[in-house]
Amino acid sequence: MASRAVFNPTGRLVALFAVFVLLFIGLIVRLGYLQIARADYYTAVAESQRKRAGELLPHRGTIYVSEGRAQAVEENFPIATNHKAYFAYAVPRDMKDPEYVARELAGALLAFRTRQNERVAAIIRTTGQKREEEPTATPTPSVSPEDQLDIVRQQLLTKFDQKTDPYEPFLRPYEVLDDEFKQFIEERALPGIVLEEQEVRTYPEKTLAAHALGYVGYQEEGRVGRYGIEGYFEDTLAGDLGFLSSERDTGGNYIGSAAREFRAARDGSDVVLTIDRVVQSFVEEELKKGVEKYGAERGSILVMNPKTGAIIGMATYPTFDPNYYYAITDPRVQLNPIVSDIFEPGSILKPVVMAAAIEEEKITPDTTVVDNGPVQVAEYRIDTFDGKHLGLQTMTQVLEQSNNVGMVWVGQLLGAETLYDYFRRFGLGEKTGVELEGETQNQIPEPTKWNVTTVATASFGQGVALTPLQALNAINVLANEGKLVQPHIVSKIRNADGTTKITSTEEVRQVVSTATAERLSAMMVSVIENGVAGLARVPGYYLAGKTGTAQVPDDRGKYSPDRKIISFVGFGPVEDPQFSILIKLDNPAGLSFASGTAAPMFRNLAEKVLKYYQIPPSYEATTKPKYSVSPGTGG
Amino acid sequence: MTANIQQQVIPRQRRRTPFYHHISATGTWQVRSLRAARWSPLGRLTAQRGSVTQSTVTVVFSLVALVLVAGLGFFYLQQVLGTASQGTDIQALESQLVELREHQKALELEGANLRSIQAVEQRVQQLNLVATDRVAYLAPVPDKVAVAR
Repeated sequence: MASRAVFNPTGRLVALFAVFVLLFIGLIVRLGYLQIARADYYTAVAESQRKRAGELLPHRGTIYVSEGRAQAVEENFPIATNHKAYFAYAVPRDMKDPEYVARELAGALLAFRTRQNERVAAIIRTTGQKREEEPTATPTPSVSPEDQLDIVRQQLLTKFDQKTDPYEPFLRPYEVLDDEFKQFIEERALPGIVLEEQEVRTYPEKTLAAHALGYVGYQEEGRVGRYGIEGYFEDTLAGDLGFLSSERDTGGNYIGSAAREFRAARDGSDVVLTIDRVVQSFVEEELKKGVEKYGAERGSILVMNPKTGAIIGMATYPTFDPNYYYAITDPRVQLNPIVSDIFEPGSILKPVVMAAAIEEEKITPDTTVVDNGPVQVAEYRIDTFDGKHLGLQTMTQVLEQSNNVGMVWVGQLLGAETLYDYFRRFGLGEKTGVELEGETQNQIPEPTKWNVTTVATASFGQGVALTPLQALNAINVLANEGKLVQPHIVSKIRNADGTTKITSTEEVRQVVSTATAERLSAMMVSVIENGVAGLARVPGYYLAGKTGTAQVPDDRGKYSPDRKIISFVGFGPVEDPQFSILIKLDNPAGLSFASGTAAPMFRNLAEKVLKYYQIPPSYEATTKPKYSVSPGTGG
Repeated sequence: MTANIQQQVIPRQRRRTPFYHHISATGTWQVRSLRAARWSPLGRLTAQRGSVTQSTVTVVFSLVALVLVAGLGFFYLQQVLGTASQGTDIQALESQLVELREHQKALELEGANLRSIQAVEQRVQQLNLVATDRVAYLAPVPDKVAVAR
């Protein structure tokens, strides 16, 4: 039997096998090291290449005003919306030659700042603000253009010469690039200069209703609404942030099958205001003319619907442009004095006192009082505004002539408790709750703290401080059958999910009876038809009104002889009031009274509103005015 | 201790007729002609007496399982890739939707600027329009379509 050859591996084969085994073991060890020991590191590297996570920014809600009250369909106009704008900043660590970048950028930046300063100056002029010297980042004009350029270049170089800095702004946070500067940056493509697109707030109507709107400004590196509607409804308008975390492919597209975490951003709600755009433009036009003509420091006009409490127009001059909210010389110009300033209303409060007395049946419109001269109350001597004393006067005539002596008698009939009670019932001394940021809480002293002087002065509107909105809201009671309604400026809120919340008329309380309100309305018509407010008359219409000229306390608490506030309140047509107006002028120049300043402003504005609302006249207007009154004859 | 008995080993001989092992209904192994089982799938698997057809079954089963797993794998891959590509399409549509919305907002803003009070006032001056001065209100007259004062 033949023997078979037996396989006998040689030493070399064993060695080769051992090498392969060692290599395999090494591979296993290396894999173990990479996948177990360094797992976290490589997972993070892989995720950073694929995964993208970030917040989703919501769109801020739009604010609308309405127009077209007389038309079948009311139209809404955006008065505050959003648009894309460009910002620029530097990334110094990406600059290989910061000096080159600074040198190239300096000229364009200087030109941009010059244009910005011109824009700011123009806005300050057109908004009626006083022009004062402002410190700016640019050199003063007395420096030569070459030196200006050199200074800007140095400033830029100081910012850019930081090798590890990933972010360095060279503009103010609110400065949006204009077309020229943006085009320059795009075309030059300077290394380390980044152009970023962001959504910012814009106001297409510019200064229209600026004080009612407020603006969106910067606060602690974030944009936030300030003042007005933007401030009051900041949370509603801002919306909620969303979140997205997912994986992207090499093209930057999201991989649909990969795991993702997604929470949609909730866009802000849209707010529709009760302001009528056309009435608002009338108001601002008339206010600007009036303030400039009568040399007032500041003026305000408020127009409301007395039956619903809706604010139809609201303006203050000097004003500002919310698009350039930083273009101001005094921060107080951004405050809305109609809700935030308190003042002693003076004679425009007399109808409220008269209504209280009639409601309490202390007097009637025909009750008489004798005015033979100034009346002494404690250590004070109270006189009429013009020093005239007309003897026997009815209550209607007391109102027509704005007779302080007659009003003191009425106030004494009521007494402190009753007078205080009616003030509070008319809504004075408490916030109205209007949807505007910055409403001031004023206080009327408790009647226990009143003395005889307080009663006397309060009866003609001095010694009592309230906001213009409170004052007109109180007069609205007389135009609205004795009912106090809640003032509001928001008509509806439209949410992103499609739901709408509509503001309805809210009646607060019945302050006086309908009969009392009607009597006072007739007495106020007589003020215009027969009294000192003749210049407020609009032929063909019965309008109710009352003038007011109030003294202003100085720092020592005494009334200043040089400063006064002139005001006028009115509503009409008296048979079915559609609007009420308050006009207030702070410290008009010269010896001026409301009858010669605020009254004609009321007439001009009322004419426009009556025409816009297409309200036919109540009677055939005479071709010749009933009165011919020159300014300054009284009020 | 094993008896020292001389044994004669007869080597295996190839059968003249091809055959295969078949499991009958009663569970017994049978030897059947391969020719007869020409059409049987198991007939050709065994060509030699004593070959192990159970391994053949195993191989067949493994191949089938492999095909199934591979098929499922390819199906899964196809689904994933399809979803991913659909995601890309959806993303493209979403981008287009965003662009259209942005365009709409830009148009709304342009419309707002054109309809602003300032723009209208400028246009009024350019068109030489004048503000209404005196307005006359006419009472409606029944059955009349035009009236004059």
